Amino acid sequence: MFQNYIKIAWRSLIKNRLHTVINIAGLSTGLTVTLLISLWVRDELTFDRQHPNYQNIAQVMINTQQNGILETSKTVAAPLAEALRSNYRDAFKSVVLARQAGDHLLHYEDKTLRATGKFVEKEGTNILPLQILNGKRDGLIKPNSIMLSQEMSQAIFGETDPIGKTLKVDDNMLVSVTGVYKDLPNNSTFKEVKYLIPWSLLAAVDKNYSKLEKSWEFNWFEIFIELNPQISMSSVSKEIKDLQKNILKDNTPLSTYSPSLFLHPMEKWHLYGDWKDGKNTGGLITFVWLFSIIGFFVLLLAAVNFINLSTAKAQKRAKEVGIRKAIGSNRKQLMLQFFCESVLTTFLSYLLALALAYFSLPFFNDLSVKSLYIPYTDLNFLLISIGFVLLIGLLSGAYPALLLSSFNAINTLRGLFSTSKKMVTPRQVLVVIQFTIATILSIGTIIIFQQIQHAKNRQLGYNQKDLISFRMSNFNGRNEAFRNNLLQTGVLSDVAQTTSPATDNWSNASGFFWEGKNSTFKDNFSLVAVSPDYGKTLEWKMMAGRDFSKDFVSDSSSVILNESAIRYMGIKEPIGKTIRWKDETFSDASYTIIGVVKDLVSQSPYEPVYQTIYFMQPAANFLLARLKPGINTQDALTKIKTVFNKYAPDEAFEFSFVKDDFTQKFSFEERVGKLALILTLLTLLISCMGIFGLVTFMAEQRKKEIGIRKVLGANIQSLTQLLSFEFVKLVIISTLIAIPFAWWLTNKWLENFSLKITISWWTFAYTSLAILLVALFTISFQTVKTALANPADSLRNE
Amino acid sequence: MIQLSNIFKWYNVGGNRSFVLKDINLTINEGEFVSIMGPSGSGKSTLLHILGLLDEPNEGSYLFQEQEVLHLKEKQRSTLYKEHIGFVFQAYHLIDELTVYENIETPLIYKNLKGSERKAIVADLIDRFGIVGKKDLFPAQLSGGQQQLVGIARALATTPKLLLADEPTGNLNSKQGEEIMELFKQLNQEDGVTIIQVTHSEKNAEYGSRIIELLDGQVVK
Repeated sequence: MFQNYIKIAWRSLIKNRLHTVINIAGLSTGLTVTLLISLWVRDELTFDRQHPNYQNIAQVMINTQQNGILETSKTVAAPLAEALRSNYRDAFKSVVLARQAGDHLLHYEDKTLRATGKFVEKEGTNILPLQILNGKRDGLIKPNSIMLSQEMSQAIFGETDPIGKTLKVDDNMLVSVTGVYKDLPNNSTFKEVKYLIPWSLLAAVDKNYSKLEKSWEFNWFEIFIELNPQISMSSVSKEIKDLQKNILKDNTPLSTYSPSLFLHPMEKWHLYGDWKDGKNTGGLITFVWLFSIIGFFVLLLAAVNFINLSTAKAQKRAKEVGIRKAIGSNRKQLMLQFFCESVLTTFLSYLLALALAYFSLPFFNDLSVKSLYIPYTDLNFLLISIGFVLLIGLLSGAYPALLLSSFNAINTLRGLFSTSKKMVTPRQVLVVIQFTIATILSIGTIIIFQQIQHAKNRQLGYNQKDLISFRMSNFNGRNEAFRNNLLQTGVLSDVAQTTSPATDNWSNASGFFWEGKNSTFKDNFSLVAVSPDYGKTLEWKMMAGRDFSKDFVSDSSSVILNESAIRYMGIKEPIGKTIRWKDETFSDASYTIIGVVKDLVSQSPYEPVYQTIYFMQPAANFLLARLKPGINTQDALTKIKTVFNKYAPDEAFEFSFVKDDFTQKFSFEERVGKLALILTLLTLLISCMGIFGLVTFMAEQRKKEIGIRKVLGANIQSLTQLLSFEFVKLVIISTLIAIPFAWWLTNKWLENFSLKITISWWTFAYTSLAILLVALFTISFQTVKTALANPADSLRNE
Repeated sequence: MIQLSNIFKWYNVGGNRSFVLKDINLTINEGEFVSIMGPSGSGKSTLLHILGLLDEPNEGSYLFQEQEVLHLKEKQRSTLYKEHIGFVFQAYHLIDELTVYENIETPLIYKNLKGSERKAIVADLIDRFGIVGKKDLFPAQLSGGQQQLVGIARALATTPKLLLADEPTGNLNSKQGEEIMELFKQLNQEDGVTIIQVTHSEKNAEYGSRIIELLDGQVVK
């Protein structure tokens, strides 16, 4: 009997080719999207789950009071590690102090590589999910050691055994390789960590660190902990809350920040990374939800097509149902037969979807910056797939099966069967659902791109054209000669040095005092140390006062502020005023404001520019250079590299165009936009396939009516209108439902940005109109064809 | 075998009852070959549908083998179809997606017969109706007469006691029609199948052992 069902299902699919193609195309598109999104969601949900004890690992985080709001930070003061260790001996298996991952130069023989690594205390090897391939797990016990990732080891040593070999890190650390670990997986927070160096070495080579290790002032470091088994994360998190506050005692300046500590569990690092006023407000989990919902909806749309087309085809199937009933089939057997068809269709669609997913995966990985793969050989995957196919097949087959099997045998056999009103309504509802979703997605996508464009059009405050940036570490003392040599190449119009890249701010500090500052005001500024040529090179715009100059010896104690800083401080007539910078550990000096510069957009293009102080100091991390217009870029870079290598033989010459760095800032939003665009197009495609299928069957059902109307004198235009109106009506209803939803959702999304577009009504109007036209175009093939048909044919067939 | 008493069937048209069948009383014995005749709209198809339980009267009682069969549940009704009643339609009503062989086999599948039994029965029927060469063709590839042969073969597959035929030759030419009628006569006389047919044609009606004439929903003869 079952075999018989499959056979009939198969023949029925073959016979109704158009119907089958639309069904399978729609369903497989939906399934592909769902499959890709599932892979993505699975990857996101397994983030940081590699460590066998991940549930016991957490990062210590801190809330501080800043002008009335709680600021949450992942970085804490170094002495906290020791305090945690000595005060909560029973709770913690290990407490590990670490520096944030950063770039350093690794030298071996004549090789120099810049790579990201981490300084951690020796027990850090238990916190990171390391799989040791070579050497020791506890390789950070001696200060002069380094552990490398497999990739690093390959890059430096090739196939030779690295253990025991000596590397130079930057220009002041000699370390010997004690271990090699498997590259950390992409879905680990530590994925970029290519090597580990003991924290103890840092203090040995940098005298500042011995101060920092004792200072409660600088929240610059990370602390990771592993709990002892059977200890509850949440209760420890509560216990340590006031530790820092109690140590600092009252009345010290630092205690006015009222620091409170808590633990952020490893399993939440990735998905719950957003904080507002001391509370966790989610984070990437929003995207997991968002994409899950979208995936569900796309699948729903595809299933809706299936349901719609199956019920539209009901008239054709009705006769068969009648016959089967008259020769003894009961309803259950009929339903089983229809379920067989829907499951078979779903199965075929799923096979196609697997192939589609396979081919679109590279593109999807590119878009999502992941390395997902389809686990074909995983038994769980196969079982879930089978279950999924059955579920979708049964769900989408349920309504058609119920409906078709309910037909009264005699009516269908006598030809009395008609597409009664009862069948039209659910189908109309389903079409409306499809187009509502398609419209919401379309409007959303357009708003995303408008917002990105809005940020791109922003006044940057400097000129990005032909501006290149490259890193350097140690030029102190030779800046001027280096600059002159670079200019002598004749390819550059200007060169300047800075501590922060042009597209970011690397340093923030507090402890500034100025005339009129409220004593309780907790200040914070971005700090950039630059060479005197900085402003000229970037072509910034002075709004008041003057630029830095080599001619004024006093300029080493001068500062230039941006407009935001002037507003932030509330200074009138800033030029010539003095600001004092005093902190507990390092500095106490006064500076004269000599100029005010127009805001430079250096951080998020969506946020207001941060209050920034520019100092003229020789420290430098980056060199900015502007190519002369019309110069051959390759040629110019070769010349620059020659000079660079002369001055910094140990460094890798790595450059980038500032414009590209800036474009990078849009990459996340652009990715979201692209993804939304693709989903929108797919949704529209599925919806259009749906109405195309429907209109085809409707045309068939109304063939006789159209024939009679024609004989009575209706012209083609009026018939096309008659046939189209049914669908136009539905699309218009969908638009009306979609617009308020889209308005609400896009507004919600735009709340993430300080600088945002105002949504204009025409976005909604044009989008709705466009969708209506697409729908009309889709159905026009069929409506025109039906209207053109010769009535003699349709009437004779009766 | 069949006893209809006081069967009424009507439709409400604009507040008035329009009677299709009025007070039908009819007894049909096992082994009879009955032809129901009458002009269009006289209610003969409705009567046949009621006899085949495809339709229900508004009033009256219907005893099939001494058993009341009106108001049966769907399941019991499908059991009756499977065990006792075969249908032959004017428009053949074969399943387009199935071959000749499979069409004949389908009721046997619903009857839950084993594959080997089904094979034997179908092979026998195909042989008897002389359509061996056509068994793998689809209905669309057959002439009307051939399709009707398949339709009858399918109706007989479950060896019903009662065969109901609604204008079985209505779509056929006269030669094909005669063949079908000869077949019916043979089935009735040799296999003892009770046959009730609705027909327009006097000539076809003559093949039966008894003629019932309907006019305006009433038996006139």
